[in-house]
Amino acid sequence: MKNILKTTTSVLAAAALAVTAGACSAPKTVTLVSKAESLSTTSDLVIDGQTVADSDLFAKAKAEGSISLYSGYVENSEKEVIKAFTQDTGIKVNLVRLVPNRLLERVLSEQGAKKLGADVIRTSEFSSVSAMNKAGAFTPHKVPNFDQLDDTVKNDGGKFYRVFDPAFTFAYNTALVSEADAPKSWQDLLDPKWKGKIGTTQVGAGGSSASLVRFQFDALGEDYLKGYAAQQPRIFDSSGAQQESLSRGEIQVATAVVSSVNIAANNNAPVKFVVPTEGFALYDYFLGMTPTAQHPAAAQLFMNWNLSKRGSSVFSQIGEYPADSAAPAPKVMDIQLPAMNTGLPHRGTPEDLARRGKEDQAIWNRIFGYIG
Amino acid sequence: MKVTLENIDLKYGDTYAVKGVNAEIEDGHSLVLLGKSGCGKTSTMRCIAGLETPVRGRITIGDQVVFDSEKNINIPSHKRNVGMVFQSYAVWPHRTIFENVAFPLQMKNLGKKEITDRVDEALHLVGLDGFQKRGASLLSGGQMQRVALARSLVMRPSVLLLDEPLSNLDARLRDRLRIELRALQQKLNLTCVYVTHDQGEALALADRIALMQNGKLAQVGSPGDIYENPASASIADFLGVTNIFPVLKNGHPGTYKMAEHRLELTTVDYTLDGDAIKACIRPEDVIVSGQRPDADSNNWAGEVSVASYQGSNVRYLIELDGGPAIEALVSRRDGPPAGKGNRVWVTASPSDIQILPAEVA
Amino acid sequence: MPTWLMLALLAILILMPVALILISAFSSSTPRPGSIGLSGLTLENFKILSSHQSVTALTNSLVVATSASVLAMFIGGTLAFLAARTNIWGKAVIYFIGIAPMFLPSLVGALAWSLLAGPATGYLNLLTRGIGLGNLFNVYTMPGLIFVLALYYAPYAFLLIHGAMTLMNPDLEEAASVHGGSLGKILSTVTFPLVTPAILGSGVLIFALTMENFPVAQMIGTPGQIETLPTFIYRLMNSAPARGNEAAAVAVVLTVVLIAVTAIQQRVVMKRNFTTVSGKGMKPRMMDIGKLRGVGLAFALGYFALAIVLPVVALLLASLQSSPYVSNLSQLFGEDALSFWSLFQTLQSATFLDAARNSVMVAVCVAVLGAALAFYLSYIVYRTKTPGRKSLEFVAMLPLAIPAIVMGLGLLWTWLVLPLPVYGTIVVLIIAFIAIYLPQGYRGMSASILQVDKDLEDSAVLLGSTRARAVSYVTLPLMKTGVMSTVLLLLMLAMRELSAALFLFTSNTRLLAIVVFDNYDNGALRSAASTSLLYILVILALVVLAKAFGARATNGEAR
Repeated sequence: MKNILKTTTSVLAAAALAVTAGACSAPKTVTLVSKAESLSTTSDLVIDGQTVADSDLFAKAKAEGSISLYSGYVENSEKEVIKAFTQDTGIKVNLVRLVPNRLLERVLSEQGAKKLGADVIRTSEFSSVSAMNKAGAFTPHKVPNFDQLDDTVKNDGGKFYRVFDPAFTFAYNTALVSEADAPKSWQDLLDPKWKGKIGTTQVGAGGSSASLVRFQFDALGEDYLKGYAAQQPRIFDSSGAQQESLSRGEIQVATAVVSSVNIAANNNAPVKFVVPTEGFALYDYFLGMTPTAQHPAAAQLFMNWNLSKRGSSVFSQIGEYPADSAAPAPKVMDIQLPAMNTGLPHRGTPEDLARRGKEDQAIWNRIFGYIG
Repeated sequence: MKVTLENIDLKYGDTYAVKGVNAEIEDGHSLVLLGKSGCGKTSTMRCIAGLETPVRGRITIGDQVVFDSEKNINIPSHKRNVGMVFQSYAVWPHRTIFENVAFPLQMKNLGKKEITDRVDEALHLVGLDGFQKRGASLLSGGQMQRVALARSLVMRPSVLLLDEPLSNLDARLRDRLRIELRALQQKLNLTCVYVTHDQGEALALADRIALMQNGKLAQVGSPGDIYENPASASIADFLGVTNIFPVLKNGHPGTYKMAEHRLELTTVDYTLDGDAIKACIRPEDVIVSGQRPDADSNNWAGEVSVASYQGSNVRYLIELDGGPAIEALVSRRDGPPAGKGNRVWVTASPSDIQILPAEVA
Repeated sequence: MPTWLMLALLAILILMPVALILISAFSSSTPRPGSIGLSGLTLENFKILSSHQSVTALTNSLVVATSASVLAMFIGGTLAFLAARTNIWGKAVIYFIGIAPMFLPSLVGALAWSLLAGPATGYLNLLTRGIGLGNLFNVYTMPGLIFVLALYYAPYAFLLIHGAMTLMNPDLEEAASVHGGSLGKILSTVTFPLVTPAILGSGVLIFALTMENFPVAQMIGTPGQIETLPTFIYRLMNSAPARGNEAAAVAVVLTVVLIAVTAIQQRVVMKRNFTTVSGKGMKPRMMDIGKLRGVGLAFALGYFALAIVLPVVALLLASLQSSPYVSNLSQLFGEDALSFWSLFQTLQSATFLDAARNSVMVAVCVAVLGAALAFYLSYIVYRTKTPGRKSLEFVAMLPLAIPAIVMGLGLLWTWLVLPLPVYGTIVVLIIAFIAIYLPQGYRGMSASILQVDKDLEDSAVLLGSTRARAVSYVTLPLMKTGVMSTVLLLLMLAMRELSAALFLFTSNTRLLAIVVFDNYDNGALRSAASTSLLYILVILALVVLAKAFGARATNGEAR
């Protein structure tokens, strides 16, 4: 039997090799996040002309050498962030990545058992980060530009910060849909030609979905969602799976996160996002430092860096809106996203989301006939 | 060494497997625990080995108390120096014969030379010279039996236990090994405990026989004792007495009446009374003749229903007129055999009819 | 180790997770360190059971499991009959085909089938579209889900039925033949009735397995909006905020169904154990099926193509494709359309290497420690008269009736609550897998220990050895084949497990199965495919290695 096994595998391998002989080159990719324009590490840490850490903090942080980051951010994106951070500072990041609600579970459990292993925590959703804060998972830290940041960024006296907001809009498969035919607005998606060819994530798929649905109720109305449901969209459990399905062409148009589209396109997927005329949703990511941090100086440095100009630039290159209102809106895939003051990006306030979340979910499930 | 069992009780769950067993085995003697399967004989033996833990009682081997429920003594099996030949022989199939036999000596951390010498000696004793290197899985049943024996003998056990040692062998080998075993036991002056359900084996191997029924000792005695004077009809039955008839006292001194038939039996012994008494007649004590014999009692006519030729003997089943069927074992020398349907006369001497209680009280 | 210590161990491994599930099903808060107790008792969570959603999920689960087990039994039974009892050509090949899909985790099979028969862009659709037939396939449907499950659970039916058919005493059939029975008559009156317990046993087993299967349901069912109980539990746990109490309530329902089914299976399998005559040098009769041989062979090869060849080709294509989008098959043969780059990237990536190391480490530890625990347990149950040993056996067999995804949930809460720092480490995965596969290990070990006469060990003790020495000198060497087979079985099961790990892994303790699932979930299909391929290779390598150590691959009796 072993022989048969061997033969089968070798035949398969040989066939595959014959088909693709020599084709081992890497597909073309572009660098997502560029290097800092200027970087000085001799005494103070100065990046792009802004002091991120004074010499004392920087020296301590370098001595600590690494930090432990618990993150609920999309893994590939977080890895880009870490790459840039390590490039700038020489400090390594040990990443523990979990989907946001599992991260919440883990942080609460570890904190309850007084064994919190993180130096810094990044997660989405105000309710989650508040629950962590309530459990005592954060300690205040004032970043150098604390005073310049507005009140929607700094929370509870610096215990945690809103760092950036991904943009949730829709995207299409460029191989199946020409630029001219592509939908330009949310209303366009109700055109009968998209029937059965579109997708959406279910409302409970995470904070991102909740924010998008809130935006849709707010800006487009309940009837819009009814129309969307009538288009018989494929409903996905995670935006990642939806993104992949769109890339493969199983569906032609689907709701999508700008940064994810950017990364997929970077990996040769024929996808492009749309800035709809009615606007789109933003949802929050937060960052906080723990009171029991094993690497306090490096953790402070990481916080500073995230909220610095350089941090804003990194997030913006990935495709996220930096939280610092002074930073410009992102421009990715040669598309300039609209600035906050254009009114197109709709950032749901935490209070609003908390108040309406449950009801939104129930209505959405009813409209889409979804089991949730 | 002398082995003593005192008041041994063994329980499996809520039921007694062994109850109140007392026995004493003199140094160099052999005791056979005889009984039907499930009577507690193997359990009793396993108590001596330490493989079962009694709930009560005391076991002494030589001067050492190996078990005492009151004093909380329970020496583990491997420190009792008890040899045991299992019914299945338990020869390890994945080891050579040398490895099998040398094992107990290795456990005693003896030197290599001494081990080799003693293994050779033990194998010689059981007639397996030159088998050292063989794998144990290739042996015949008789050879396995000998390996198992050698493995126990080589440790010079204080007492050797043998559980149904001959039951897995064919008849001729059994007869031969029976004699060999007895000779070996006497030659080495071994204290032995056998367990068997075969009365022939018991009679041949034992200095004393302990007959067990329902977890209790029913009768203990020399083979002759037990054979000649069984304590109950059920023991007699077990010892191969096939003619057992329920009887009642019928008023005439010296005679009993069959409970289910109208035949009368004249006996020497006339003490027992009651409704649970039985008359026992060994088949070899039943005399069969073609003519009416002179005897004035125990004189019955009947017809041969089965005649089974067994070489040196003929075994008959005879339907007595107005009575039960009776079995007779007749020597070939007592004339030409009768055939099925022949009319015959059957007698038995009053001294050969034992009147026994059905069970031991 | 005294029995009570063993009981305590099993209590932590098995009873505590079960208890925590029960508690949280009836409580208003999920168990966490510092917040576990019977306060806030409520029946509120069970309201979810009356919802349209749970009724649909339960109905779907029952329909899927029933149909999949019937189909799997048909496939497995036919192959078993062909391989064991007919004069078909290439029996060894048929046998290989019968068990081969065991080495392909159902997770990987599901992924491959979504690549093959996904709507619009599945490779098979590209093919039929290429020849002008349009899109014929959509695996994201109820029949698709049933089909994929049946493909990957047929080997269980094959193994059980094949075993029963080869062990059958030919005298029984010959007796029927001597008394004038025709071939058809013999089959229907002797052969099939004799293997009925095995067929029923495997049917119930497969029902239970497909009922609790998570990966296939999630990858094939969820895109088609076909909710089953396991995916429902998963989604409740993963919704924001997590609805652990309701998940526990649904878990209780799934467990109750499985306990009922497992109870039936135990009875059926028990019966089988007593009726099947164990074979000693028996050669079962081979039946001449004449022209049907060709049909049989085609059936077997067809199954092989569907279960192994097509999926592997699909995974290969997907991992070599340089763009995730393919509009027609000819595009794949264009310049630079296929590249090993991604496969090599995966092979070198820290994620894959870490996961491979974790998987192998977990599988080996589970196999060795699990087998040791199972041996010790079987020893206590079958070789001692310790009071309470029957309850030990009961607890050890309990996980059989508890869905892996539910056990995972219970184990998560257990190790969060216990003051031992294992949560978030690889140790918790090892503990979890040992717990869920204890029944398999225990069964393998006890079957094997029962084959070794107790006298063999007792004699060593009487000859002066300690009990431990006697076990290592006599009992264990004689159980070698059984022990190694159990180790291999546990190795395979641990290597393939996803569901139980879902709630227990963290990003630095990922297993190969988790990486595949995560990649799929995050939309990284190409890395999911290339990881899957390498995953299969790792499994094959482990099997070959284990077989070199003397294990028999095929006494595999799984859940």
